[in-house]
Amino acid sequence: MIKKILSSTLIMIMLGSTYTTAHSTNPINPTNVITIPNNNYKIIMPENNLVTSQKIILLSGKAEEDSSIIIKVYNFDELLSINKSKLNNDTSSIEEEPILTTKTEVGELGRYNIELKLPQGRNKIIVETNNDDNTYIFTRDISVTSEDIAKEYLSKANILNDVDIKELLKSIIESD
Amino acid sequence: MDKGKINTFILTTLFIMSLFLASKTLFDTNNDLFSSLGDNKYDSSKDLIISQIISPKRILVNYSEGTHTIVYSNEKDDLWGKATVIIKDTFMNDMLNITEITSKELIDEKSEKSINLEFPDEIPIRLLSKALDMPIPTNIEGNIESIKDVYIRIGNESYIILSNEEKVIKINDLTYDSDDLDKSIENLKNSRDFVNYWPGRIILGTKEDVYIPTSVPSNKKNIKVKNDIDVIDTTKKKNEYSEKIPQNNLEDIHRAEDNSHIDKIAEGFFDKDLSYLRKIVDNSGAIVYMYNQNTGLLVYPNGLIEYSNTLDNVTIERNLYESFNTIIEFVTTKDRLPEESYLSNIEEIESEDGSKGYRFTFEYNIQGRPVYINNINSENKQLMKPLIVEVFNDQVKSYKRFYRDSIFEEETRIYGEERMTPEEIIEKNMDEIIRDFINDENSIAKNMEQKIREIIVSSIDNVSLGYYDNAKEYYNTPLDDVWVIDIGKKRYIFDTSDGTKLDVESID
Repeated sequence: MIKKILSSTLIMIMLGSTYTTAHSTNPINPTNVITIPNNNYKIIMPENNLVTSQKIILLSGKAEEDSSIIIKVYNFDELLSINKSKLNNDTSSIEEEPILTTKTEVGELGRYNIELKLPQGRNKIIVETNNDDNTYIFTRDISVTSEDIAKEYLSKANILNDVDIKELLKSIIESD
Repeated sequence: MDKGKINTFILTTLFIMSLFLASKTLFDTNNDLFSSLGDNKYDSSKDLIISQIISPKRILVNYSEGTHTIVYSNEKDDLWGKATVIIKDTFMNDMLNITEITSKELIDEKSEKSINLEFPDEIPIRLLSKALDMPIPTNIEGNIESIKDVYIRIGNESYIILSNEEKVIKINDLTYDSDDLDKSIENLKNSRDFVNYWPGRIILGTKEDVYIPTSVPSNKKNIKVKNDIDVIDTTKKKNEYSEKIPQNNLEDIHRAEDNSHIDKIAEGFFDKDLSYLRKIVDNSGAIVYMYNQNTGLLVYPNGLIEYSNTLDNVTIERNLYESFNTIIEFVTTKDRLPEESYLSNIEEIESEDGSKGYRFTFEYNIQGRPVYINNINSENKQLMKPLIVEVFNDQVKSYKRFYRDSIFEEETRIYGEERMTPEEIIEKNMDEIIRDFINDENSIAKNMEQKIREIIVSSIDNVSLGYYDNAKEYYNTPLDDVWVIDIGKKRYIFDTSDGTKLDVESID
């Protein structure tokens, strides 16, 4: 009985403490960039590290009313030997100019939706959401390629999804 | 040839003919040797009209999960025409593999490359059979009584899904060729007028199966319409100062001098000469024609025509097929149907004396988009419908029609004008939408008030483009380019350029 209570409180403490971890920081302006994820600000589409053959991407996100959104798209069309700093969120090290900049406001419904036309190659979309003094920054890496390459990538990515992780772990445990 | 052979030949022909005719009296056959000579020519034009009237109101074209578009029938690529070829091809086969699926599964299917033809109302299967001019396979007829949507898969798999409010059936393992359809929808995607509709649940968080565009091409058609019937206000003619009828800046409008053309229309309706009819002109300018106590025709100054009739006998049992045929016959002989018309509603009705019948509503598109008409009689919150008829099997009890035709010389295209997205328009009109919603729902719990925006968004049922006819002038009325948004029990009509609400209708 006591064992049960003890173990359940331990589990609750562990669960309770996990939510604060895990969010990439952004060195743009450390004082007022929020690092704790706020559920009222997020990007619904597209997912990060997307590989697609479509040239028009829908950027759809959630933000609080009266936020202003600034969207910048950078394109790196060298697929090989990409400077590592370009791949993380360190925007201060991006020398290129954005190929596309656009702005929008968020109304009562708390949503913003913009269609972006992306060129081939690796694209980085940086979305800056400003509301009063708070700024939330999101990035998305989108690779636009030909249809064949996109299909191949997708089929390889799906292999991992098909494997049942539970079964895999089970078999590992049982083989000990 | 010698006489003997000729005689034998004549005898055998006579014998065969008599067999045929005798068989007609003994049992029903479909062979109608003699009707091809007679009035079949007229019948086939009626059949043509039936096949055009029973058509989908709109077509949802699905390219992938995120990319969809909505088109209306009779557009350049004629998707409905190509779809009927596939449907007929499928229906020829009596051994179909049919399974029942859920409506959720049908919604998932809309992420695959396909088209979904949506009829404005549930069409009973017998009527659809008549429109396609072919019998429906028995195992389809046994499985589903009426059809609202027809889904056709395109690409490497072939199956069709028929559905209505209650049931969804999938016809598997078909072998039709969808290349033609595939090419058409690809052309559509590459065309200048293409509007990409995204799933509403991604854009705004609406319920499933709602599609909303985020951007609209900035070219818009400028279409003007006019009444097809011009009712001259003869009451004003008495005053010589108003002898000149105001011209609306177009010098060459040829308005009639009097209403003799309307007399001819009345004669057509009653099938009687004007001398048999009693004609009264009202103070308001309306003209009434009475044939007898029971039958009358009322022509309003704005061009609305109402024909009413009292039923000769009580109709105990309603027959959809017969009623529909009656009205088609009536319309094609006494009046006409506008181009791009379609049957938009079927309702069962009962008259005061207990007769059972149907109310059919017909609407029309102009240049491929549905037209919503202002109802000047604004007592009821309904838009004007071009044609509403009440039919009791073989008798037409009421016929109410208001047509506005487009003036082709007046069509132009305007480029570069900004248009608001549905999202922006909903935000702009949010206060009114919330008020209407709360009125309709009667009560919203106190703790729900903060969530009212979410409730409103989840009540969005449909977003589409259309034209609005404010019907205020006889001639030269420009159609407004509008977004039609259904939220809860209301259908809102908003101007696409500035988001003002032009009209609203209660829907069920």
